Amino acid sequence: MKEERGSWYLLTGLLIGIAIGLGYAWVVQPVRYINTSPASLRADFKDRYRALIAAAYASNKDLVRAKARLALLKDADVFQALSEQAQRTLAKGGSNDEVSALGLLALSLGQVPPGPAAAITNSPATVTRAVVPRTRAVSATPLSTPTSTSIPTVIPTETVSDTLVGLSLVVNTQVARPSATFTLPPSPSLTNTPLPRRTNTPTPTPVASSTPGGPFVLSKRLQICDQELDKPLIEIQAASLFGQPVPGVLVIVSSTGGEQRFYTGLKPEKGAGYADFIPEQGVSYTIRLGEGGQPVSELTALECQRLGGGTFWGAWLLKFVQP
Amino acid sequence: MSRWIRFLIAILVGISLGLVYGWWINPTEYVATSPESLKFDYKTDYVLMVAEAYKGEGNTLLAERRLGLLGNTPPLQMVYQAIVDAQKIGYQESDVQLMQTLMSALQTGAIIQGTQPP
Repeated sequence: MKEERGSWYLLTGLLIGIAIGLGYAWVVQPVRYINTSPASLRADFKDRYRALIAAAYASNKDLVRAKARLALLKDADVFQALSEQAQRTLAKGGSNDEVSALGLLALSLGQVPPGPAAAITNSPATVTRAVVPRTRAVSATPLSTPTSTSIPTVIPTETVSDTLVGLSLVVNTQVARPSATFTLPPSPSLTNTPLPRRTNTPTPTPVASSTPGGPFVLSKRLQICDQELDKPLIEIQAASLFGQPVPGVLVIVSSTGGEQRFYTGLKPEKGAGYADFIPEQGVSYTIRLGEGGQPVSELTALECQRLGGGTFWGAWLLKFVQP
Repeated sequence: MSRWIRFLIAILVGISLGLVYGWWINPTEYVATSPESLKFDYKTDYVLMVAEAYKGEGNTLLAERRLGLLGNTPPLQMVYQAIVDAQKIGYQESDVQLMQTLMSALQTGAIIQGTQPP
């Protein structure tokens, strides 16, 4: 008598075959990637790769090459990736050189950061610069005409006309070195101009970097009462003698509670030479830029008086310059 | 056709399906590779980056550490291979020179440490 067993054995054979096939394809002889691209690197290797790109850029200043290399990593936002890595490295206590290199490359890529922050648009006649992220206009009038090198020399008599919309402002200007001579780009009419969104197109505008030089000295100490601030703030701007923002400058904030160290330029959207921190209430801080920089003391969380009574948080803006 | 033959054919069909799925449709993906697996031209550029950074920093140990990311091959040999590849690919002379400078620096270090250059 013949036994009727149907066709289940075929399905069994098929399943056994598939299992063998998958086992061979995935375990015994998996697809080997021996010619990978940097985009497939593990996240930490990508960080190392990115840091090396920045280090190479710091050395050769070849932005086109750096951009081409960064493109290999296929980051969604190269600018952000660099800035975030710089901050991560800083938070982990990584190498200062690495942080500076990453910050410098980020800034070089994002010469025109988004929002009203340190962006410089050169034209033959005028230089328009948005200096700070609030509605604040700072104008500097050159006292001499442009020279043949098209870089006029001006004496630092910046007229601060902080006329604010919805803000009250107390200006407390301290010129650290009255005899210092500042050189600014042609017609430095500094206005707070809304800027288009940052593009990663390299521009011919050079970015100053933290280079060895004299210690940073305070050029201005301003109180800003901005009702839109929800917490007190201390803002720092580092600039070169030529008025260019300087990234990668060490900011040392000391108080009775200890010391904090960070760098300018880690918030590129607010300017290349910009840094800030939130002070604690009732704590007095001293700030200096670099180990040998001029200390600025007695900085506390600023409280501003509302016209109709009451208070709101304000900010200190400290402008430093490297003579 | 006997049942055993048909069973064997079913297994072979299954193996084929498994291989097609495992190798083409859904292959093992290496999304977190190491620099060691980079294609040779990327490795060459990596070495060039190390050489460029070395030019600015002058730090041989740091350069060696960076090259170490490319695998266990001795750094000197890596740079040598990169120079060969760079010449093959057609790198600029100035770039090749940078790598040669790095190799010289590593050679000096290697001699100091008592190892032989390739």
